[in-house]
Amino acid sequence: MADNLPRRIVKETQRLIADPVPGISATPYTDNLRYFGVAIEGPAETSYANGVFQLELFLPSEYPMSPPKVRFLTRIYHPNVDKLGRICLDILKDKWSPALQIRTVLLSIQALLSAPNPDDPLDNDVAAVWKNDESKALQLAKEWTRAHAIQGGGKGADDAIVID
Amino acid sequence: MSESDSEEIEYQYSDDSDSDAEETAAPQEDSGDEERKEESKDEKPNPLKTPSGKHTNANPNAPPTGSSRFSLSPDYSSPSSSTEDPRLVPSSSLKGEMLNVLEEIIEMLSIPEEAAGALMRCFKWNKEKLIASYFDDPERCLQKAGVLKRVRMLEDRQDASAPTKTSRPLTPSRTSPRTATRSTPLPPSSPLPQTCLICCDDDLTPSEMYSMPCSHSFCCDCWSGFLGNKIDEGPSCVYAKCPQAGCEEIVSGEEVKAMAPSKISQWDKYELRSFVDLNKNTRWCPGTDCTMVAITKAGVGDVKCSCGTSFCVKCGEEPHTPVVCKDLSLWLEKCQNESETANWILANTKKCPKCATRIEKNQGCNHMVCQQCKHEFCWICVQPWEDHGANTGGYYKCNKFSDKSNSDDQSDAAKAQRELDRYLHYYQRYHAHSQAQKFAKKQLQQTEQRMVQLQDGSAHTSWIDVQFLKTATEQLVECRRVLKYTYTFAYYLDPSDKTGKKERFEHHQEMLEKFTENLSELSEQSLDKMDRTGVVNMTRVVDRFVKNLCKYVEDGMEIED
Ligand SMILES: [Zn+2]
Ligand SMILES: [Zn+2]
Ligand SMILES: [Zn+2]
Ligand SMILES: [Zn+2]
Ligand SMILES: [Zn+2]
Ligand SMILES: [Zn+2]
Repeated sequence: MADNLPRRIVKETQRLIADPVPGISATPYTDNLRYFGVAIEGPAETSYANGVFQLELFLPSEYPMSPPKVRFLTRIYHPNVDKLGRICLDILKDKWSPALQIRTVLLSIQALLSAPNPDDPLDNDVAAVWKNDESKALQLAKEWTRAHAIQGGGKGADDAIVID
Repeated sequence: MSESDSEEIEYQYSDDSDSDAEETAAPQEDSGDEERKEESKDEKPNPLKTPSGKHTNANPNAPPTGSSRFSLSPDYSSPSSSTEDPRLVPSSSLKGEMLNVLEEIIEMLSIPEEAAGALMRCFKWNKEKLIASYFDDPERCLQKAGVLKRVRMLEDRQDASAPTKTSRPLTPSRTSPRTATRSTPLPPSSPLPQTCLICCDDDLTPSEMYSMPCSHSFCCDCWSGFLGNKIDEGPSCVYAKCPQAGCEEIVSGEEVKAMAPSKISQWDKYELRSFVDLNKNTRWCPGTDCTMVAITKAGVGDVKCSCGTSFCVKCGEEPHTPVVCKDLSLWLEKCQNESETANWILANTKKCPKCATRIEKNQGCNHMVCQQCKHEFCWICVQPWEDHGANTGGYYKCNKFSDKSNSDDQSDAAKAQRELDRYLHYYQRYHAHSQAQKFAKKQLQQTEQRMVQLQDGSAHTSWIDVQFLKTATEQLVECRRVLKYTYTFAYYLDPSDKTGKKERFEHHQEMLEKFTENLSELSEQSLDKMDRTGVVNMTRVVDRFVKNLCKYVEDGMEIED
């Protein structure tokens, strides 16, 4: 596996492990080094605080010419994340640049948790609540975090989004 | 010809008056950037040119004087381009066409060819818009098109170095317009190994690195992969930006040539495709597998392509005088939406809405009962008959189709039905002429055979003598086409118009109908009864009539003199 893994991916992986981003962990699966298990801590003083959100990240064969594919596995109440955990983030689409890295992508996702953008929504229902009644939205986000992203708070692993 | 003669004389005058001062200045032109480019175009410094940049010269296309090859946009002054508008060119000459347009921009704004291309694409090849935007705020304009660094770097380089050492980024010579030599990346300030942010190789020599004018360096392999990837993604590659995240500088053919030379022909193809697609003055021939392109200066007109397809250069549809493109597109969309209604009206059978059995209407009653499934429905609106009770206003609302006079009923349903009737009235006639046009086209194919027969029948007739029949049939096709569109046109005339325009138009239309039927009858005669003089005369009359009608509409349908 590792022999035809591009040097760039090897280097990125080494750095992610040796010098992790605070609040983010990303670990490649041993049987597929292009597939990462990711955990992002909810930023303090947000509705996601104290939660730990699991994501999956996959580097397609065109990477870095094509962006990595990232998805939330933990359920999250957020206007830019849909029910399947897909994320609306410009750098994962048209704003992707091969000079960006896994690290930058994960940082951007973390930033998205701090600053939801209901004007560019992926889940219209959530975005509508966010725009019309922000306090209710924040409350719901907090409840979802407690239910799904905090150890012992939720109903366990069954809760994770099922990969379809 | 007389026009260009006078232009030449004008030019000659300015030559005489300006030459002394300019010629002595020419050898030391280095200080003036804008002047320099002209020099590079010709071996001889051009003495005619007034300072460029913003030439308000009323005649930028003036032909060269004497043996000097200079002109601001050489190919525009060639007489061939001005003879026809619109004109058709093969796709092989698109590159020349594009460069002609670009050269004017290159001259005017003193920018490299690559920048001019990106700017024009950004402004959809609308030169006026680009120029307006550029002079309004050059910085913003260049930024928007992603060529700010490309243009500014050129300027910096011109300011900094002697012109003899700097290879000119643009040499718009007529023989090889794209011989522009790209400047090599700036020499490294230190010999330290460099890192490529894409492949993370950190042991690269400066010569293994490459950057666009924005100076974001990546290794050549990554550049090649990046560009190849973008070009493989398709036509959108012409909008690809620098690989550096957030950098707005746009990729050009210069980078492709340098870093992915095997892809340059594909890139060029996409560039030309974008030139034709975005440009409102160009259009691909809609003929199947045809690669000809119509180019227009005026932006309007009909062309006939060598493949046999005729089309409107503005919208690509079949020529459609007297209807304007916008109304035609509305009409075609309406016909599409109403096609089921119209077909049902035109046909005498409808499908049972429940079991799809064909049912023929052979009596006046609109209450239909399907023999197959016993479903009861209304012939007009195809809704279940049980809905046609008192609570929905009774089934009379569906009788409006036949009851055309009841305009007192202002209910929405009644209005909609009246509108539908109105549409169907025009559509039925449009449809009839459309069918007749198809028939006439077939007749045209058969005419050639008939021409042979006619020729054989008389020992003294030549091919030329029987040409009249072909002309007549071609005229017939044309008449049917125009008649067809007169009904589209009439549909969009204001029905409440009181100025009499509509009546006058309908009168013209009726006359054209009559003459067309006459011609149709005459030209379809059997060969032994063919009245040649009659056909020739009627063809002429009808031809004039079609032209008059179209002109009448063009002139706004005012009362004729
Ligand atoms: Zn590289
Ligand atoms: Zn750049
Ligand atoms: Zn054609
Ligand atoms: Zn048109
Ligand atoms: Zn039926
Ligand atoms: Zn009905």
